[in-house]
Amino acid sequence: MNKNKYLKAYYDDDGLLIKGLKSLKKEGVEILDVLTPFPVHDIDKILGYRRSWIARVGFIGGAVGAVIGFGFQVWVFTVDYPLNIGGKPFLAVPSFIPVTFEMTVLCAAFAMVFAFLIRSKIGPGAEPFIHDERSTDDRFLILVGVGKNATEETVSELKNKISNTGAQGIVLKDDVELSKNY
Amino acid sequence: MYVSPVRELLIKGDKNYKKVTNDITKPIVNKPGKLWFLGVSVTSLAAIIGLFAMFITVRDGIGMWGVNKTVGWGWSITNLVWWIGIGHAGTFISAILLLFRQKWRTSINRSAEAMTIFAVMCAGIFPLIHMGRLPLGYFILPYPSTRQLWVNFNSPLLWDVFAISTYFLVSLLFWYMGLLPDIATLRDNVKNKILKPVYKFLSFGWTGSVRHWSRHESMSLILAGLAAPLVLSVHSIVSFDFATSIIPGWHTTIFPPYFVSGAIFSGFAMVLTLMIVARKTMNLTEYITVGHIESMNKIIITTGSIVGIAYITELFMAWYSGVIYERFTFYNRALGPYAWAYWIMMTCNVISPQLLWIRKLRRSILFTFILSIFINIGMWFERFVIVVTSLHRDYLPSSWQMYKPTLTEIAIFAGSLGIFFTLFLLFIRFFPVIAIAEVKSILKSSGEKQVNITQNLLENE
Amino acid sequence: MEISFSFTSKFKIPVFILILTGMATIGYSIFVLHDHGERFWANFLLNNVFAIVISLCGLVFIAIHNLGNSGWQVAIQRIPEAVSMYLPFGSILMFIIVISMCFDANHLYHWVHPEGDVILEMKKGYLNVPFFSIRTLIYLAGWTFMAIWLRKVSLKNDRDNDIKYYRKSITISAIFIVFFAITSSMAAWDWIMSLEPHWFSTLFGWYVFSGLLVSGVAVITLITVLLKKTGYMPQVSKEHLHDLGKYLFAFSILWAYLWFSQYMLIWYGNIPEETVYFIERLKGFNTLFFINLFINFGFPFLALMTRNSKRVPIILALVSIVVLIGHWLDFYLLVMPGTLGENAQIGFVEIGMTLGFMGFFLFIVFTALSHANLIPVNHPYLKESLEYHTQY
Repeated sequence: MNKNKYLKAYYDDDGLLIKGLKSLKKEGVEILDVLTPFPVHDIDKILGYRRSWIARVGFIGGAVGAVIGFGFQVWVFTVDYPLNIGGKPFLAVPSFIPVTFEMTVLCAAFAMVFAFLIRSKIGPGAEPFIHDERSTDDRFLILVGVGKNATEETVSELKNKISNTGAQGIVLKDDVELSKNY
Repeated sequence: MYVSPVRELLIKGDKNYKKVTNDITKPIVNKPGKLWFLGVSVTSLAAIIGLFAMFITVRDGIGMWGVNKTVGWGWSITNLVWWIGIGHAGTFISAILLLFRQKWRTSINRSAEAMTIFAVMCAGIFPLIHMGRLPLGYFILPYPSTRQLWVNFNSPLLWDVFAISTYFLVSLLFWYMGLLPDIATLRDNVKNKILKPVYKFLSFGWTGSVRHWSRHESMSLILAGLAAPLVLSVHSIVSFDFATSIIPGWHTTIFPPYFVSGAIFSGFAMVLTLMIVARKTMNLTEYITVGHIESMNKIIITTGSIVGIAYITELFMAWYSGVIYERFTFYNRALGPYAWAYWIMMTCNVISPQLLWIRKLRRSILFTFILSIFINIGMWFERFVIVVTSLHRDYLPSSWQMYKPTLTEIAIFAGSLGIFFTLFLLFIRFFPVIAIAEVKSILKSSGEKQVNITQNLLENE
Repeated sequence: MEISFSFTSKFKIPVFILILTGMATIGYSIFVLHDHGERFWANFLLNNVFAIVISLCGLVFIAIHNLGNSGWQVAIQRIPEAVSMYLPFGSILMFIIVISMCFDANHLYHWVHPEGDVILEMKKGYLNVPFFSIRTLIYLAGWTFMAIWLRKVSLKNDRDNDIKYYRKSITISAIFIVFFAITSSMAAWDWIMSLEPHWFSTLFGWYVFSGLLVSGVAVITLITVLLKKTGYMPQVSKEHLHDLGKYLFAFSILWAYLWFSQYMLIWYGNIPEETVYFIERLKGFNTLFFINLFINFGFPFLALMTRNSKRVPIILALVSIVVLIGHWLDFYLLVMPGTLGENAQIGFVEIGMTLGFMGFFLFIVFTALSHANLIPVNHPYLKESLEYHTQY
C-alpha cells in the first residue's frame, strides 16, 4: 500500500466517543479527525490540541479599531476641519468615546470571524467532503490514520482495536477525500 | 458535568439526538401548512401598505406627517426606539446569558437573534425616511466629500449611525456563526433539489470537525464578551439622542441604563409573544417548556421593575432638583393633555408585570401571552411619552403645540410590523427556530429521559 | 466535610494592630486637631459608608445567586454571608453620625440649616433631620434584619437537611432585592449626594451601586484567596476564582460605563447647576480625578483581560487590592469635596482611620466566619459547586 489511507468509523454516543478516544489515544493510534454534530467538551484536550489563539486576533483587531476610531475623529476635528460645535472644545474627548467604542467592537468581531473562517478553511463556496451525512445529526465520526507502510494485517489489527471501543461501520478509505478538507 | 436534581429539566419527552434533529427540522423539510401561507399573506400585505406610505412620504415630504415645529419627532422616532428596544433581547439572550451559563437560552436564542436582526432593520427605516431625502442618506457616513466637510462626531445622532450599524453587523455575524452547524445539518437532511445546494453554499463547508468546534467555541465566547457591552452601548447611545439635549424630561443622567433595561424588557416581551405562538404551531412545546417561559418572565419582572424604579427616580428628582421646568414637565406628563398616554405606560410597564411575582401566573402560558402584548404596547407608549410630552410644551408658551399622527405615519408603523413578521415567518420556514447543536449539547444534562441514564452511568463508574 | 475557621492569633494580632492604629488616629483627630472635628466626621462618614456598602454587597451577592438558581458559588457562600455580618455594627456607627447630627455636633450636611438658601428651603420637605433619621433607620434596620435572617436560615440548613431552607432563602432574597432596589438608591442620595445638596443626578444611586458591586466582590475575592492560601478552603478551585475574576472585570466595566454616562451627559448638557459638581472636582482634585478613572477602569480592564490572570490567585488578589484602594478613592471623591472642600487631603488621619475601620471590619468578618462551618454542607447545589468546572 503506497497511498496514505485512513479508517472511518462512528460511535452513536458522545460518552462512548470520549471513552473510545481516550483508549485509542493510549494505544498510540493516530487520530486524524473527529466529526461531531455538536461541540463535545474535552475532545480537544484528549487529542492534545492547544487553546485557540483567536482571542489574540480579537484583541489586535479591537486595538486597531480603537486607534483608528479615536485617531480619525481627533484628526478630523483638530487638524483637518476644526468646527466649533455648541462651544465644545475641538478635542472633545467624551464626545469621541461612543464612536471609538463601536469601532473597537466592530473591528474585533470582524477580525475574529475572518480569522476563524480562514484558519478553518471554510467560507462561502467551500466544498467539503462529506464523510457521513449523519455526522451533523447523531453520529460521532472518527478518522484514523493507517500509515504509509501498513500491511493488511496491521490494518485489520487497527480495525479490531477500534471496534473494541464500541465503534461501528469501520471502513478503509483513500486519502484523496480527506485532504480535500484540510 | 453534575447537575443537581433540584433543577427543572429543560427538554421534555423521550428524546435522542436523532429525534432532536427531526423535531426541529420538520417544518423545513415538510411542506408549509395553510396557516403559514395565511400569515405570510397578511403580513406582506401590511408591509406593502407600509412601503407605499413610505413612498408617499419621500415623494411629498415630511409634511405628510403630523409633526410640526415644536414636536419635530413624532411616531417616527418613537418607532425607531421601540424597534431598537425589541432588538435587544436576542443579543442579550445569546451573549449575556451565554456568559452567565444559562442553559435555558439554547431553546430560544436562535429565534430571538433573528428577531434582533429584523427589528434593527425595521428600526433603521425610520431615521432614514425622517431625514426626508432618502437618496441622500449616505450623507451620514464619514467619507471624503467635495464639500470637504466631515460628519459631526459631536452629535449623538451620528453616534447612533455607528452604534446601530455596528450592532446590526455584529449581531448578524454572531447569529450566522451560530447558525453554521445547523445549516450543515439542514444540508445533510433536506432532500429538496433546489434547497440542498443553497444550504450547501450557506453552510460554508461546515463538517463538524473537532478543530472547527474548538475554535468556534472560543470565538463564540469572545464574540459574546464583545456583544454584551455592545448591547448596553446601543440603547445607551439611543438614549443619548435625548439626554445630551437640555430639554426637561430628556436631560437626565439615568437615561442610559434605564433605556437598556427598558429595551431588554420590551425585547423579551416580543420574544414571548412570538415564541408562545411558534412553540404551539410548530410542535416545539417539549423544547420551549413552561420552565423556559418562567425564566423569561423572571427577566421581564426584573427589567420591568428596574424601569419602574427609573420612572419614580426621575419623578422624584424632578421635584428634588427644584428646577421649575423639570417640575412642570413631570407634572404635565402625569396630568397634562397626554396624561392618558402616561397612564397607559404606567399600567402596562410598572403595574402589570408585578403580577408575575405570583408563581402560578408566571407559569401560565395564556397569562404570559396577554401580558407580553400589554408590555409591547406599554413600551411603545413609553417612547411616545418621552418623545412627545417633553416636546409639546416648549420653554415659550407661544410655541406650545399638540401632535397627532396622520394616516401615513400609522401606515408606515403598520408596514414596519408587516416587514418584521414577514421576515420572521420566512425565517421559521427556512431556518431552524431552535439551535439544534446547542440543544443537543445540553440534552444529556437537562433532557428528561436522558438524565436518568446519565445519572446511572455516573453511579456505576 | 466539616471545615471550620479558627480565628487564631495569626489573624488576630494584625487585626488588633489595625484597630489600635484606628483608635489612635481617632484620638489624634479629635483631641489634637483644632477643626471642630470636621476632618474626623468626614472620614468617619466616608469609611463607615464604604464599609456598609461592601458589607451590603455580601448580601446582594447571596441574594442574586439565590434568585438566579446559581450553583457555582455555594463553595464560597459562607464568605459573603460573613461579610454581610458587618451590617449591624456599621448601622450602629452610622447612628453615631445621625445622633450627633440631631445635636448639631457635626457639620457634614449643610441642609440641616436651610435658612436663607432658596433652593434648600424648597427641598426642606425631604432634607430635614427627623425625616433623614427615620429613613436611615429604615434602610439600616431592613438590611440588618434581612442579613441576619438569611444567615440564620443558611446555618439552620447545616444542621437539618431539608430543601425548605433553600426555598425559604429564595423568598427572603426576593424580598431583600426589592427592598434593596429602592433603598440603595435612596441611601446614596441621602448619605452622599445630599452632602452637596444643590446638586442632583438621577443616575447617582446606580453609580454608587456599581461601586458597591466592584468593591464588595474585591473583598470577597481577597478573603477567598486568603482562606485558600492558609488552607481553610480546599474546596475552592481555580474555577471559582475565575468566576470571581470575571465579576471583578465585568463590574469594573459597568462602573466605567455609569461613570461615563453621568459625566458625559452633564458635560454635554453644560447646565451650571449640574456642572458645578465636576468643576469642583476637576479644580481641587484634578490628579485624583484621573487616577480614579485609571485605577478603577483602565487597570482592572487590562490586568484581568487574559484568562490566566483571573485564575492565578496572587494576581487576582493584587488586582482586588488595587481596585479596592481605587474605590476608596472614588468614595473620597464623592465625600470630600462636599465636606472638607479645599482642606481635604490624604494624610495621616485618612490612612489611619481607614486602617482602623479595616481592622474592625475584618474582626467582625473573621469572627462570623469562625462561628460556622465553612461549607454549607446541605445546600442542594453544593455538589454542583464542588464538581464545578467550565469550558470558559
